[in-house]
Amino acid sequence: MTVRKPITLQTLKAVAEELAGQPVSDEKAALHAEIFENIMLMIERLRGLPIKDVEPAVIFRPVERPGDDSP
Amino acid sequence: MSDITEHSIAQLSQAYRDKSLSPVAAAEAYLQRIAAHNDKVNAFVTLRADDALAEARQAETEIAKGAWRGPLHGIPIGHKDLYQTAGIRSTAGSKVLENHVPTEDATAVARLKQAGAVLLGKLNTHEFAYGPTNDSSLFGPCRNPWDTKRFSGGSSGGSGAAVALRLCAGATGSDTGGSIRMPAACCGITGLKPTYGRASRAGIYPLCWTMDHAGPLTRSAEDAALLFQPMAGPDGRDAAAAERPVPDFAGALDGDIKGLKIGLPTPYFFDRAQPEIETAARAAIAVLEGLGAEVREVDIAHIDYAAAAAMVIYLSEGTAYHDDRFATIGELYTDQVRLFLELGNYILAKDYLHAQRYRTLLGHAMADVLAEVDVLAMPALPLTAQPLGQESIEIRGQTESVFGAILRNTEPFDLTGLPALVVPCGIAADGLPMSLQIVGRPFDEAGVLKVGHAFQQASNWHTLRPPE
Repeated sequence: MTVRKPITLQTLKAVAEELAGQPVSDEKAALHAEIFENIMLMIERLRGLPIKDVEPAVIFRPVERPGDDSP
Repeated sequence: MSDITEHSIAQLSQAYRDKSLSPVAAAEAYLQRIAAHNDKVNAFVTLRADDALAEARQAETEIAKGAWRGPLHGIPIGHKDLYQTAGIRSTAGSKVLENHVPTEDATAVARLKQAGAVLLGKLNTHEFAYGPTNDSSLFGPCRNPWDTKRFSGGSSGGSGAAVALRLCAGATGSDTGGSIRMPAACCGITGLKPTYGRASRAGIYPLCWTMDHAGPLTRSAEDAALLFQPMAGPDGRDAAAAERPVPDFAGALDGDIKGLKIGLPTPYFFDRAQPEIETAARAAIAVLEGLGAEVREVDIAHIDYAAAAAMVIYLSEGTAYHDDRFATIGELYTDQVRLFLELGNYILAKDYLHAQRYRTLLGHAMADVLAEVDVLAMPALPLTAQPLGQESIEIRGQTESVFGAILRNTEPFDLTGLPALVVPCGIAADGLPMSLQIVGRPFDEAGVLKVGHAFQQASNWHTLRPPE
């Protein structure tokens, strides 16, 4: 189980600017922090599910084209 | 029946063949209704009157020559503006694509054209399908024909409002969290979200690649079967399209549901709905029981996590799809969609994959239940359409966001990809429609359509139309 601290405006500003390359204003980061803290509470519950051996529902399939008739 | 726009798709098709009605007369009747009533709801956002009449004349000529293409030949329809239409502006309801004219049809558009459908125009949508109310759109909000101060439901709001108001005989939509079923339920019509992979999404702007579905909105289950028939089937343009044979959906509508086992997932789906909606859904289920169905309570494990998983997937995939445009022309998006796209930047990859793992878990939980019963039945939505702009609602003493509430009963079946049909089952005290949702096993669209059709043969809720 993960343990995290509440989201801060500074964290979101840094992620938006330094990771996503889409900077946000202080005002917007404050709004995001308020909303995203609630989303994180939902995500934390999801993280608590016992699904260690469950594969994600995203299955890779090799790309095949007409004429690719390898045995 | 003197009003042509009251004909069902099946009735129109029969009338064309016995020459009691012409496709041109039908197209003209719908165009007249659009001219008279569209401004009330803002459903059609691009109209192609002359081209539609030309297509109707061509259909009339072909049918007269005996070159009948099938039950959709000459049927006037509309496409959600999320569907790309060659030579016709396709905006996705966004200023980002305000003047975009594609050169190629979406697969569904091409197949419906091939089936002979007459395209009246394009229909309003929540911007890029990223919202359940259709109040954020380049064209302004789509309004509910039962009460124009309320939302139509979204994201396929134009489709829902247009079909309910008899502005077209049927329409296409797309469904990622409920975007076919929510407007169908809010507007009192029938909507089918098929199994994930049953219908091609090629040429439909994506919201979430792993949850997007294409399907029809119509006045009845029978019409849904007819309109969906050419949309279904494999497509090399869509990697998710299943290589499965497509049954005759209309042929399955025999009305016989004797011995059908219906499961009612009371926790989550019934006990968090407005009480009168629960009552209406149970009354509809009693009708099915009266037709010989067997009803039992069931419980779907882990269902309470559905909203969290869906939220993570919407935010992750939505932001990934729009990333390039957002970086350069982000100011063109509406405030609500821009907020969602910004929030998607903060989701961790591990949480996205965790959400995708949950989908597997939920899929097994639903498969366990559907091993015991043939279909599930429940209220389509836990609330009726609310006033435009209203952000929160109290249901059974709990205050929650309108967005969260309206998605609750539909998004679990986008997560699991199961086929789901909504049919109207009552009118609430506020004058708005209430609906029942019927969910089937993977690729059993025929099964849910059969149940919906049996209900509509025994009731008349689907024949009611909004007051004018």
